[in-house]
Amino acid sequence: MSLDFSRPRPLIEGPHTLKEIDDVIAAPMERPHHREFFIALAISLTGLGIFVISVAKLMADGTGVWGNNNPVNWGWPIVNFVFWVGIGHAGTLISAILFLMRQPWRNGIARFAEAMTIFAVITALLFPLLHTGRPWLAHYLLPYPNERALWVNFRSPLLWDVFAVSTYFTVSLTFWYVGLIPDFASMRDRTTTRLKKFIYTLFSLGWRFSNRHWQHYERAYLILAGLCTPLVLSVHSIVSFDFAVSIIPGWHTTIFPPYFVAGAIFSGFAMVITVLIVVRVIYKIEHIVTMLHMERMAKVLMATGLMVGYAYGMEFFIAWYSGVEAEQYVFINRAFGPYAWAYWTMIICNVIIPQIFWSKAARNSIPILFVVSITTNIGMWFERFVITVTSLHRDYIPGSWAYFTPTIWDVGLYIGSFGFFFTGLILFTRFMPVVSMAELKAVADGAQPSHHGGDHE
Amino acid sequence: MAKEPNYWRSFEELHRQSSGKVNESSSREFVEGTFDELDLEKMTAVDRRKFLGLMGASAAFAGVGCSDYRDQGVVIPYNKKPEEIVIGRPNYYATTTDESCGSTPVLVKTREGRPVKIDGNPEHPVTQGKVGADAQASVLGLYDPDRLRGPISRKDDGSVENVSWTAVDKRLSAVANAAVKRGKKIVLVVPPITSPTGQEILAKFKNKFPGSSVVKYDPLHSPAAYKAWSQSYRGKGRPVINLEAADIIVDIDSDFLGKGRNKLEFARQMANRRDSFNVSNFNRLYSIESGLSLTGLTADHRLRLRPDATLGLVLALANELVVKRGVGSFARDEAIKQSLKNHDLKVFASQYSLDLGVLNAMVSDLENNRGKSVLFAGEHHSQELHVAVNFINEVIASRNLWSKSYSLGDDNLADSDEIVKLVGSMKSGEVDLIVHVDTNPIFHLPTDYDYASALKKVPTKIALTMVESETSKVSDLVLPIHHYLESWGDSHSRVGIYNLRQPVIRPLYGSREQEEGTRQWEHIFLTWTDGKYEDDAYLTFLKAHWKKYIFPQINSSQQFSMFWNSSLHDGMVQIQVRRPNWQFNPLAFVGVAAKKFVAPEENSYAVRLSPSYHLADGRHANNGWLQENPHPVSKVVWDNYAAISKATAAKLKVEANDYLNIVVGNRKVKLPVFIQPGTAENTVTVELGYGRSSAGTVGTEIGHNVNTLLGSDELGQFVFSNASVSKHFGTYEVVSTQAHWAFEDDVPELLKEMTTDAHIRRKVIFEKDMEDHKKNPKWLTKEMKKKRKYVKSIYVEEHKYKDVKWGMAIDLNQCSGCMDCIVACNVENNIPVVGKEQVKNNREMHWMRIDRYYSGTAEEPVVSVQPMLCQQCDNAPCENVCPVAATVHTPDGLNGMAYNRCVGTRYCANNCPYKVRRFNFLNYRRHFRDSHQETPVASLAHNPEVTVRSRGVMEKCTFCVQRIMDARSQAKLEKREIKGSDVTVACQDGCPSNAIKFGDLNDPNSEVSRYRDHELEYKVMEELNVKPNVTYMAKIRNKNGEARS
Amino acid sequence: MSKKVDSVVALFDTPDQIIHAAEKTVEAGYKEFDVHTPYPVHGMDHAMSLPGTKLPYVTLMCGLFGFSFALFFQWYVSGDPLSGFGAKQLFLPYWLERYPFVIGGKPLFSLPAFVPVMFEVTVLLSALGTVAAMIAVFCGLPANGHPLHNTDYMKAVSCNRFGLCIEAKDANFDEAKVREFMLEQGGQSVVTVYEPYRRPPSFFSSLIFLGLLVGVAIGVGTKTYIVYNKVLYSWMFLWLDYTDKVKPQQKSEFFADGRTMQLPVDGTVARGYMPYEYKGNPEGAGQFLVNPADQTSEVLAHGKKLYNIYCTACHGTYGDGDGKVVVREAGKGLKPPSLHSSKLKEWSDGRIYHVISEGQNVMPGYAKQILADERWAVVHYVRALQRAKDAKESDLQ
Repeated sequence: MSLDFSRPRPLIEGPHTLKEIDDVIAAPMERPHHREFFIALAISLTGLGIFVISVAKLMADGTGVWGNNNPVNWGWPIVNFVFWVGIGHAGTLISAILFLMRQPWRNGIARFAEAMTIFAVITALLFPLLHTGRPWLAHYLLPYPNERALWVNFRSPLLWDVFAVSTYFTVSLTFWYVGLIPDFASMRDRTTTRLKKFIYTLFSLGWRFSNRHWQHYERAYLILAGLCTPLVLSVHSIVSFDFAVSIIPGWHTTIFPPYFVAGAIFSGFAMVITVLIVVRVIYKIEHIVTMLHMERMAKVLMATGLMVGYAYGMEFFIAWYSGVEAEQYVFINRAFGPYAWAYWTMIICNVIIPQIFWSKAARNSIPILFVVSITTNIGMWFERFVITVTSLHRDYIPGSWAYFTPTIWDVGLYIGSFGFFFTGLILFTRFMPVVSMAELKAVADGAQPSHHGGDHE
Repeated sequence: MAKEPNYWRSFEELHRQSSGKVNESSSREFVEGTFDELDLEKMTAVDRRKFLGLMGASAAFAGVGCSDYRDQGVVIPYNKKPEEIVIGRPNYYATTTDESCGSTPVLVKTREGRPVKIDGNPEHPVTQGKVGADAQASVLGLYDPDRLRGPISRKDDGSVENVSWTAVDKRLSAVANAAVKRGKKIVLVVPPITSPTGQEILAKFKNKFPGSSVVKYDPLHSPAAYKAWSQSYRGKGRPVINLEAADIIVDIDSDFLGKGRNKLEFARQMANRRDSFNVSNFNRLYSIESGLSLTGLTADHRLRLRPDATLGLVLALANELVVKRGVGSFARDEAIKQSLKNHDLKVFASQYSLDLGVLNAMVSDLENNRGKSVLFAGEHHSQELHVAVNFINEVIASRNLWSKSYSLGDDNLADSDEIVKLVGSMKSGEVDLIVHVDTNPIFHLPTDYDYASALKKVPTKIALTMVESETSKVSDLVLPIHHYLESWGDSHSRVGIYNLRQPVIRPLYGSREQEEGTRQWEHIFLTWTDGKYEDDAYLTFLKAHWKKYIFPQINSSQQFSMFWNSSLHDGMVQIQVRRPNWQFNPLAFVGVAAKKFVAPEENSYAVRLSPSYHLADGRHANNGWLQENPHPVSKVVWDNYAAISKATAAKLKVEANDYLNIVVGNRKVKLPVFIQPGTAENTVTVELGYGRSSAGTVGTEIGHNVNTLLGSDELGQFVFSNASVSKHFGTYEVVSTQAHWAFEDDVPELLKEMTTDAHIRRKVIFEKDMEDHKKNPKWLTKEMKKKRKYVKSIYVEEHKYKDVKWGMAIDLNQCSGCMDCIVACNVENNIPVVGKEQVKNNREMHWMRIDRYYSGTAEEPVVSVQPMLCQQCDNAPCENVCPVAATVHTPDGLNGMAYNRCVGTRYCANNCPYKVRRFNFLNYRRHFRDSHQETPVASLAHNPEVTVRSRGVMEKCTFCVQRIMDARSQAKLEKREIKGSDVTVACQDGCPSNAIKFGDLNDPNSEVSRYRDHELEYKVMEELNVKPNVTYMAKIRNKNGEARS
Repeated sequence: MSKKVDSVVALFDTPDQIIHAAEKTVEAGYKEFDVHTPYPVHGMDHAMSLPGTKLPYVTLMCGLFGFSFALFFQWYVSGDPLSGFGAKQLFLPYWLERYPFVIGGKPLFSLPAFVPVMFEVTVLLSALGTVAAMIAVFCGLPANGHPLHNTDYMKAVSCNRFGLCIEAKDANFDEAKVREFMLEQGGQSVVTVYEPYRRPPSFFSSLIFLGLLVGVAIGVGTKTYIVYNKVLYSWMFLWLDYTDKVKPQQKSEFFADGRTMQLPVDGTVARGYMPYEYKGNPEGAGQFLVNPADQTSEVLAHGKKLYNIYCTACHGTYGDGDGKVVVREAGKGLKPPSLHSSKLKEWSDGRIYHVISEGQNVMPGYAKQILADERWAVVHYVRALQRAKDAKESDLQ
């Protein structure tokens, strides 16, 4: 882990002796009655309720409760899936790539971003499952030996998806957990109540902070970071294959993998900002998750926004350049056809608005950050909508063109998914340290021997 | 999860051995673990065996839970297997239906004594193995859950009670005899009966009860046409045109390919003249019509003309032909010249803005092809028009096209006067008893007759019907009758051709001996006339009749029984007859021509009604397959509508789905607007047969009833002038399976250019005019070669198909877009009816569809149709994306679909460039109309060879794989390889014009291979390198050179 | 019993101190010692002169395994690339069988499409392998029972202090010396840690556990029963095992006789099944019926087969009327005539056919069991038998 860097502003503001750090971070877990927490939980639980109802309706009646129809066989569920997977990218990215890039400021937000990843990916995983016609046969998607001698079709991008997303989930979870072990141990030694102690003991695996362990631990962490970096890039590439490998005009595009990854980071960071802005207030950790983090993330937001914008332009160019009638039609139809409104919402939210971050003032203003992060996620949702629906609703055969309109159950499931996501996240903030204690202590002032410096890895 | 025992047949042993062993051993282990060792007293506190014992116990307990208790069903064999039935193999019976107008010979496929599919009788000289969509769908009518189970008597307060047949017979004889005694009338209202025995039975009834009369009527029958005929020609009967011999065909607002009694015959003959292998032999079809019809979209030249001006056009044509060009013997007839002098073609053309070039071309075509051309006048037009058309036909010597066989013509069907008389006598209380035999005048007859209130005056009203109808609802006695598949009978539509009808299943409701249940109407009448009920009374009667009248006509040496059986076997007998040569009489025409044709005023509206393509007069309203079969032109389902042109709509300030108020005289009706390209200005065209107020679960309150618009001046007059049309408040959504984007206004310019003619820009449709094609016959081959040069794949190795490889060829020159194939497919493949709401959401389940494309202008559109079904691509994009390998390729080149494996990701449907895959978004069996389709009787209609798909499963056309497999096993039985010619697919059988060819691509001599090598051959979107196996023949439009310049 | 010493521990305040202490410990020649810090202190590995970790090799191994396994697995389940359709299956347990599906016209082994899964599996296995090895092998966790746990020492090092610990198993460990050494290094709160007494877990005797076991069993049992027999067959889950269509020999809720298989209506004529003209008219049959089947060897073979199935029981293998039934049921008026009687020889094919179809006296008709053309084949065989009985020269040709 890197120690030596000259920072314009401290990573941790205010009190920062090791003990205090522990106290501050452990506070949410030790303060039993906490009004903001219960309000937030109540809101997210209502969302969860909506989710449950929508799923029940879906199981009872079938996919037909949604607006999907024949040319547009994929509607909101897939849009939401890609949306959530996208959000699930920031976490691992921050903790892995920024880690490899020796960006110590990541320590303040890594843990939280990872947690977000975990819950976002779980939410995402629900959609492909629910959107199938017969979810109770989902196990057909796994290559397990069976008396029918039927395996799976490894040529299908959907199957790649099964592998990619589940791998991503497992590895992120591991990564997250490895990071948590020392903190669990700290909590174990802090807590007073018997139950908590039992649980923390269980999860801390009896970690002893022994330096002989730290040695392997750090290496393992480094290796994981190294593995996660290509993984996080691969996942959304493979998600993009769900579209790119098809032959549908508007989907069948080689630019999709990088374009999707950029988009994922874009939306992921946006979501991190949105949530952190709230959390740091609720849990009074402003001095740990500082404006420095915010500003840096704002920069990332703008950069990825520009990449996405570039992709939008390039799509059009390629369509024109390819000279394929259907391809050209799809893109012109996106911009001027029946779904033009969706397209322009996307452009404004994803390309125009983030430009505000050229100004330092904007980067440092919480309200602006909050608004932009939200518009960005709206925009990114519409990007997926535009890609999925507008490409399908008028593809090759003019005879079967049609229009797609969502139903209340589409909306219900989408709103509900937020409830699902936030319930998980809020419970996390209540029972686990939202910031990595060990990592944070490591970068506190005087946390490292004075005559030692530089990288030892 | 219980599996059918034979489900994984190929793995049965394998599976049973291994899994069986496992179960056995494990269960024994439980036993030891539990019952031997488990004695808790004996056990010390610290004891592994106790632990194991309990472990075993719990495991055993869990095991109990896992065992499966579902009812596995029972096997019930025949206890005396009939000789002709082999279980699991179909039987075929030749019989006759009158579902479609007139009687049609059919071949019924039965499985274990249950009819499952209906096709044409291949031996029959007229239809040659084809039937219309309505006959194909009639199997659903047999299993219709709404059918009456027994006689019903309805009290005045509307309450009903079941009664026994004996009671019915008693009551009838009482009433009838009383009527006879009091000298009152008994009226039988019957449909057009073509059955000799039926007529004889009615005659017997009349003798038994003097003073009883028979009124025979057909709502779609136009007396005017027949009257016109008998005015122009002497002698009984009417000729049938042999279209195959005609080079020039002019259709005057008569949709002769789409409707009418001879449509099957015409479709076939038309197609034979449109054979891609004989392009020089193409005939030329001119169509002058009010609304865009099936015939209109097939036509080489099409002109729009409001229906009430057709007479003017025909007279003008007559003038041009006879007077100006002096064609025919009447050219020297002064009277005719006189009468025609003030009908000038040029004037007329300019007045109605018709393309004079086309008209002139048409006239000279007629002139140059005397004896090889014919005019068809709209059946339901005025008598005058028919007289005039008869005249022109005489002039151009179309009598040379009269085919050998001829139809009986109008066998005294009722005309308006007769109905008026009937109503009068009913009102005056002369009628004591009225029997409606499978007729529904309350719905059919124009309100002006006031039939309903007249009926109230009749003391006893009896209705014979299968499903409660408007008329039966107001009858005192409702007697359920057999479906034709349950009944005996005969018919005689073409002179010299006698069709036989035999039951293919015992009556579903009630056996002969029972007191409730159905009986066929002839049998009921026999019971009444004989005064007693006898089993087989009608059959004996039928046999006797045939022995007496028909058997002698073929003077053969064999016994009658043999003759009878062979006739049953063939389904018909043919007797050679000479066709009379009717003499023409011009006087009538002079009268018509002299009477100056009154042109409709400039801004008055004309209304053109016509029978529905699928429901005819509404008799099929309760048949979901037909209701959901899209309209051939507008693709509208589950509705009728007021079709108007775009300009007219603008003038009326209405948009699609707005309500339109149509007033003709004192009659008015409210209809939703549908903007139909190609409709004549100031013209509203509407289809009849919708808006049944009581037609069963499916058919009730579907669409709008426009019979109320009909007038009492003459039956079957569907053309109205001087109608007033205005916007009515409110809207009503008309749903169609295919919108016409091309002519939408709100499309931005940038997009409009690409949207219009998209099908041509994307090379989905290829068309050429005859002349260009003759100049350069290889035009398409060149283009295709260019296209095919660029398709490449990263996989070098290509899969080789040994033995048979299935493929299809569709000749777009022959396809008229009649939609019969779709019903054929529905019946064969158990395709559900989803209802209007689902179709609105683009969820119709038809495996096959006929895409209709407009190009050109909204006013004068050029229409192209294209049957689109699964193309069974070699490089099927749907297979690649299926994660569970539910759709894979079969060794004979089919794109197989394993329903049970499908989890429903729907990616395959997305990735299909032809969009031919269909997904069960809901459980349509349960979903549609309160599980109407899930009743045990309805499930009998399903093809036992095809899985009934459930919710969440993808499905699609598989070239009737069940038939292929059947043929395979047959070939195996006969110890030979399967041949391409062994299999025909359902749509192919259903296609009246044989436009669909199917067979083995690996066999160079097969028909499909021949089409594949044809110069007009192309496959849709080959540039995608999906390698489709359905070949289309580019359409050649046989336009006249003059007309184009 | 006396408590066993595990180690001696001391706490330090700053990273500098602990680094220094660590170096000193090494100099003092202690091997079995450890340093505990709330976070990895840099330079500590150097100070403790620890050898580098071997973890990366584990990662490499797992990665390689994942890669090759994914490649092999996909190749295997996608079917044998060497043979295309009708690939003869190897002799495998049923659960290892697989079909060589041709999908989208691609070759069975379409490598480009297999790459993504190979990548994912590689990453997955190497990640999991690394972590597992790190925790279990290299750190020897979980070790909740370690003596250091629940000591103030551990509480301190887990928060903000730095600890040095010299273990008793070190060669030159001497408690007094070590404590002294610690103090020299400026260690505070120097403490000796003893091994806690652990009594062996009496796992199986605990009745609570047994109760729990039974409870779980009952729970699992009921749950499985309800799920597998009720829930999974509730109307919302559709398995396509019973579909809404009618199959042969099924029970019918609709037809009065409860059968889906109906009898054809009397007097109707199915295609290809002309009703038998000479019912109860043997003479007519004898007169007019001619044998349509020609006397080929297959026909005779088929006829023989059927004869042996249906006729031998009474008529005997050679048609002498001495079938098994006749022999066993002797004296019950069961006297089938010999097929070689002059009467039968004079009979025409039609006449024999009639008897086979309709039966006579005790003999039932076989029309329902044997198809028409098959009956004719039997007739041929009977004729053959008759000739075989007393063969003439002419028959040999």
